[in-house]
Amino acid sequence: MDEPKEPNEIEEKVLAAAASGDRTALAAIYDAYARRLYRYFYSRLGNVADAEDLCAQTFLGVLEGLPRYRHRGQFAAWLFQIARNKAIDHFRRQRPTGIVDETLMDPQAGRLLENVIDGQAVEKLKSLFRALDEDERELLRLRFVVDLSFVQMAALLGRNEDAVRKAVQRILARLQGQMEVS
Amino acid sequence: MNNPSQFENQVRAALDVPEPSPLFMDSLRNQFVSGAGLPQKEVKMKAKFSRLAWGFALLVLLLLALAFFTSPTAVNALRRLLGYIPGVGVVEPSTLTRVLPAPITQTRDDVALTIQQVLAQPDQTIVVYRYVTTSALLDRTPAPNAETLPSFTSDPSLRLPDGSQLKIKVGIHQAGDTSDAERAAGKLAVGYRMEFAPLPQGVDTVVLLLPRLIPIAPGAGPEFWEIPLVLEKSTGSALPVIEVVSTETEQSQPVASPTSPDSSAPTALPTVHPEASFVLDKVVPTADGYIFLGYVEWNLPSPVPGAMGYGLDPDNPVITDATGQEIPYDYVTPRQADSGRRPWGYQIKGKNVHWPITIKTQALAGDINLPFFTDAPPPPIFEFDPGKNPQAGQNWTVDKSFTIAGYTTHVSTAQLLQDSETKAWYYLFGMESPDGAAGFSLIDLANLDHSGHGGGGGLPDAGPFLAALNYDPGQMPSTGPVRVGVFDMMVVLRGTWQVSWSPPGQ
Repeated sequence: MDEPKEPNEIEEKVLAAAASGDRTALAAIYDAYARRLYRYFYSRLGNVADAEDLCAQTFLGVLEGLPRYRHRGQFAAWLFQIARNKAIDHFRRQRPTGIVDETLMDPQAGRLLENVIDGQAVEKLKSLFRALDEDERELLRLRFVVDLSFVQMAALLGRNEDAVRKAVQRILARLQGQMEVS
Repeated sequence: MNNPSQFENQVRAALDVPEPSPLFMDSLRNQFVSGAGLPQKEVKMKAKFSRLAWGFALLVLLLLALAFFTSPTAVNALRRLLGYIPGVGVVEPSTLTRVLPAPITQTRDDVALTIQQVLAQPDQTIVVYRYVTTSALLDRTPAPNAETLPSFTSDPSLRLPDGSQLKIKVGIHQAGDTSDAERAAGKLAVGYRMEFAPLPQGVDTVVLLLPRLIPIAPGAGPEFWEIPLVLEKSTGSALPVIEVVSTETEQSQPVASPTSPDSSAPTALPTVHPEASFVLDKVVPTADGYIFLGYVEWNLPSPVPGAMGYGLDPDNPVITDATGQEIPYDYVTPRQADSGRRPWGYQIKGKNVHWPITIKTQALAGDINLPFFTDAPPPPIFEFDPGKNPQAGQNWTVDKSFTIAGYTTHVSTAQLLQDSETKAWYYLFGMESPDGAAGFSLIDLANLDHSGHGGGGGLPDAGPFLAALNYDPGQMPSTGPVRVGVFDMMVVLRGTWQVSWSPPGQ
């Protein structure tokens, strides 16, 4: 499988400048990750309001944490660790059913992409995703919604990169098998 | 059979999500870029002086608590200070210089837009709107040639009488709270809150300019809303807030209330929990139910006085009535969190409740930002010896335990691994904590510049977990003995925390 390209790689000197409050450096971080962060939260929470709220909370966490951040070439993993913690906090604060406002659910999700793909297959896949457990969904989300590389995913999840790669491949193989059966 | 790349495209399509609103992205970008309010120097200072600050804060809290529990007038005074405004939260009514006296509704095509709240305060102006429309309209794609009008900027603004405009500073989606009647009519509601700069003195009339309603796509629905707003002096229209005297309970250790400072103030069984306090401190009676506002305060032991941030959140709380029947609730955005004190808020619908209600949680999930960034490195939490020539894939039995903040964790194993792509090395530790530690960020104390974060674990179901100690690509991992430090940790507190409450006179 093709490896997603690293998003605009954040250099150590940019991170150091950002930690001291340099606006250009902060803008570079924001521009590199804001859209992907939003997509991650929307994918997990299913509504615009919560996705925006947690996106804002995560960037606040980045502001607070940057002075202590020590660059290991894995800034994305660090940032998405904050994001995952925010999502966990969010779910802890809510009942399992949540208060997802269906007014905001999926208003235009993926319409353009779907149009060029087999629509029925996509709908079937969506139903299969719902049957996955949360860990499996998170792996696919990080890989296909956020476009993290396996290296970044491994650093984020505290796991071996090969193990992450194989886990994703196993899920895809299982889904593909289920698609063919149906 | 599809080939892998075709199938991955299908997976991407099935997982695809809408793009964020440009307004939100721009607004957040401005906040982030200009809000670099915690530069390194300040954070260091915060850590350095935190002991003093916490000591002072404790003293102030003790004095406040003393005044609170000995003077009924203090309770009454507090009650007059605060009010609750739906869509906005708890405010001090005295800061509201001017407000919108009643909601204003405009209807165009399939959209009924209501300006619910306008609050002019000395430091900001808050506008809350809600609109009701059809899902079909929300589903429309952008029009190819969306119209623009020269009198409108791309963002919402407030036009002042002299023609100048206050641009939006922050915009936040809120639950629209679609009513049953609206839902039955095939309608949906969307809420939005905006913050602007304060209105100049003497300005009571403004025009709200909304180029479009979020998240309706450009050109897909009615646009260019102009809504005149006439503000009036606030007459205290905020909902009253009932200050709850003391409502913390912990099921296993109920004790009698030490004092009743105000006989009219609702109370419940208070107890002291050694680790954390689950407190209900405000109740807001609404037209159709109640809002409960409180916080969790972490009574941390001494090993982490310099923690740069920590807090506990209730895990999946349940609200029940006096008969034990579960009451559904909605989450209400609580107040700003303080370090060590995390707010929560829940809203129930319905007034016919078998009182008292009880809010209960059986786990509190916490995070501690340890004072890593101080002048001296932290002490090691454990050491292990991989020998002089560790190999990729090699395993070691560590069998060491360490304790931070009263949480003991056992490190059972270590493994050295190398990332196949970056060739970066990392040690992966197997851990488990009977006390409820659930994750750590680790660092090699002999290699501060080239080792760093990792971690793992799972909340709230903490069990065995893995934590990684990463090295920079090209940097060799330390050879034994390796001294490992920690700068962040996650924990789970288990027990039963609950608060009970009845309205006055019940």
